[in-house]
Parts: sequence; structure tokens; C-alpha cells
Amino acid sequence: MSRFKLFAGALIAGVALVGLVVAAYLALRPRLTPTSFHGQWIDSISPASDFVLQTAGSRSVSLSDFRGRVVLLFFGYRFCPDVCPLTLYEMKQMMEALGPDGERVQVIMVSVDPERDPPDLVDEHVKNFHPSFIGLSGSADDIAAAATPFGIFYQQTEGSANTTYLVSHTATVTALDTEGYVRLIFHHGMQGKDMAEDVRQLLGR
Amino acid sequence: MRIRYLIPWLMLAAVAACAPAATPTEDHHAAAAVTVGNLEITGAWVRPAAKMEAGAAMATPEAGGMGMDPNTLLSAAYMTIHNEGGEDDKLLSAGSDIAAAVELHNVKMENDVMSMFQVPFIAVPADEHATLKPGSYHIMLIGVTRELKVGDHVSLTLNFEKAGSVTFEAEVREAGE
Repeated sequence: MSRFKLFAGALIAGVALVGLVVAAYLALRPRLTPTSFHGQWIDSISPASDFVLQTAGSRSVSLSDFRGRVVLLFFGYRFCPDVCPLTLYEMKQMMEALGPDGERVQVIMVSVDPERDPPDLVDEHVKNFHPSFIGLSGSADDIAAAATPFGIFYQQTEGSANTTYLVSHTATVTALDTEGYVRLIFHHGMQGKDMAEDVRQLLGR
Repeated sequence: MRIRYLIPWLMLAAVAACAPAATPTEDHHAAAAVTVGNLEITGAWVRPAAKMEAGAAMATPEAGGMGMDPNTLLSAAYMTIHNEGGEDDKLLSAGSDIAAAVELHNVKMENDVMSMFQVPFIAVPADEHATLKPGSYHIMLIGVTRELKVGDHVSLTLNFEKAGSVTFEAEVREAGE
């Protein structure tokens, strides 16, 4: 009889222990498994190299001015009628999906066509998509210095009499965390709601 | 007693009266199909174009194309062209009364680098369709002469090799369906 009680007691204790372990695993799982992102994860050992470019009113802006926010950095140009507006539109959708969290997010478009995009115009152009967006331009040298560390390629290509020239350019969006580390690459065509999910994770939400 | 019998009939009549009114409201969103020869054009839309306030102060004499004139506005038109006939066709050119110039373009993506380039035509093979969409084939509107706001209508003319020409109105939208 007492041997049976002992056995029953051990069984109950065993089941309870297994239950506890399972419960603990389930509770900790979100922290144990690597978080999954829609964008491509980038490991960085130090913050991205800084740059200084100009926005509306020839005001100088540094990338490092935005520490504390998740920065979405995109290189494009105003006379890009197809791919750049799609990316800006998706980032507008992202801002709408983020709601109040969007206050800790900064979308920046750097022009890769400084000849045709003075700072005032590129800034006004991106603000047509969302008033919080910032457009930057500058000298050809400053833009090259800003783009190169992010692996951004751009090159003028032959246009027609109407277009004069076109600009081929890397169409990805780089996401930097609140400390200025490069964390994600969004390839062209990423939907705004997916970017919003990733950005929320970078914000620690 | 009589009135109680009437109620279902009145409700039915109300539903019947509403039904025809509901259909055009739905059609308002999906652009009406346009037919020319064996081709049917559906889902046409045009990207918005906003006037540049900052540009007004720096106007240069080279108006029109994408030269240095900051006031030049651009847009693009998208649609699906279905070929229901038995022979291949081609979109050879396009025009619009709101653009100084119209070109046919395509986009290629190589190692994440986007390159846009002009094409001489857009093929519409027999019993297939040509899709004009962002990041792919599109009709580029250069030197747009007025601001294009969501909900505006823009006249487009398409010139096909076999089906001939067709002019129709496309709605300005932020994005396709």
C-alpha cells in the first residue's frame, strides 16, 4: 500500500516536473529562438559610417542625428517614375501601419541624381508621400561618400531627348536600429505592412 | 393584418431598388474595360504627380523634358492588355494630352540594381496578355502639364500595330489593385 503511494507520488511529481519544463520552454521560446524578419538580417559590429548631406533650406543633416530612431535609408531620384515611387508608397503604408510607433522611425531618401535634385526639391518630393520623410542631396562627392559604405551602386544611363539621362541604382532599403547599426535590408517590392512588423521588432516591441 | 403581409414585399422591393444602384459604385473602383479590335484593356491607372513649390522659384528656360528644369513633372501609366484574338499584336506607342512626351519603358533588376530603359514596343502575344505594372513595363509620361491628384482622370491614347488606336480615360491612383 505504502509502496503504491510512493509510486503514485513519484508519478505525480514527475508529471508536474515535465509540465513545469514545458511551461518554462513555452514562456521563454520567443527569447530563445532567433527572431524572424521579412527583410534580410545584417550583422554589424559597429554603427554605420556617418555622412552629412543637405535637406530643404540647405540645412545640413547627419545620419547620426537620428540615433534613438529606426532609420530606413533609401537611395533614389526624383525623376524615377516607376520604382522609387513604389518604394516610397510602401514606406508610407508602413508608417500608417506603425501608427504612434512611427514617431520613432525616420525614412530618408538620398538622391543619386544631384544634378537634377537640389535639396529643396528632393525633400518636397518625398514629403508628398509622407510629411515625416526627409529628402537629402548634396555634392556628387558627398553623395558617393554616403552611398558607398551601404553598398549602394548608381550610374547614369543613356536616355532619350525627352529624358536626357536615366539613373540605374540599387533599389534596396537599409534599416538601421536605434543605435545606428545596420540591421536589415529590404529588397525591392517588400510590402509596407511587412516592413512595419520588422521595424517594430527593431524598436523592441 | 394585411399590412403584416405587405412587409416582406416592401423589403423585397427595397432590395430590388438598391441592387442596380450598387453595381455602378463597385465599377467605379475597377476601371471599366476598354476594347479595341481583339484587345481588351483592364485595370488602367496613372500615378499621381505633384507640383513642386520649391521648383517654381528656380525655373529655367529648358522646359519640357527631364533636363535641368525642376518643374518637369513625371508620371507613369499601368494596365493589363488582353489579346483575345488569334494573332500577335504590339503596343507601338502611346500619347496623352497632359504630357509633353510619352515613352514605353521597362525595368530590369540585377543584383538589386534597378535599371529603367526605353523599349521600341510592348508585345501582346495571341491569347495572352501584357502586364504593365510598377517594376516592369510601363508607359512613362514626361513633362506632365498639370498636377495629377488621386481620383483625377487622364486621357491616354494607345497605338497598336494591328488593333489600331484607342483613346480612353484612366484614373489617377496611388497604387494598382
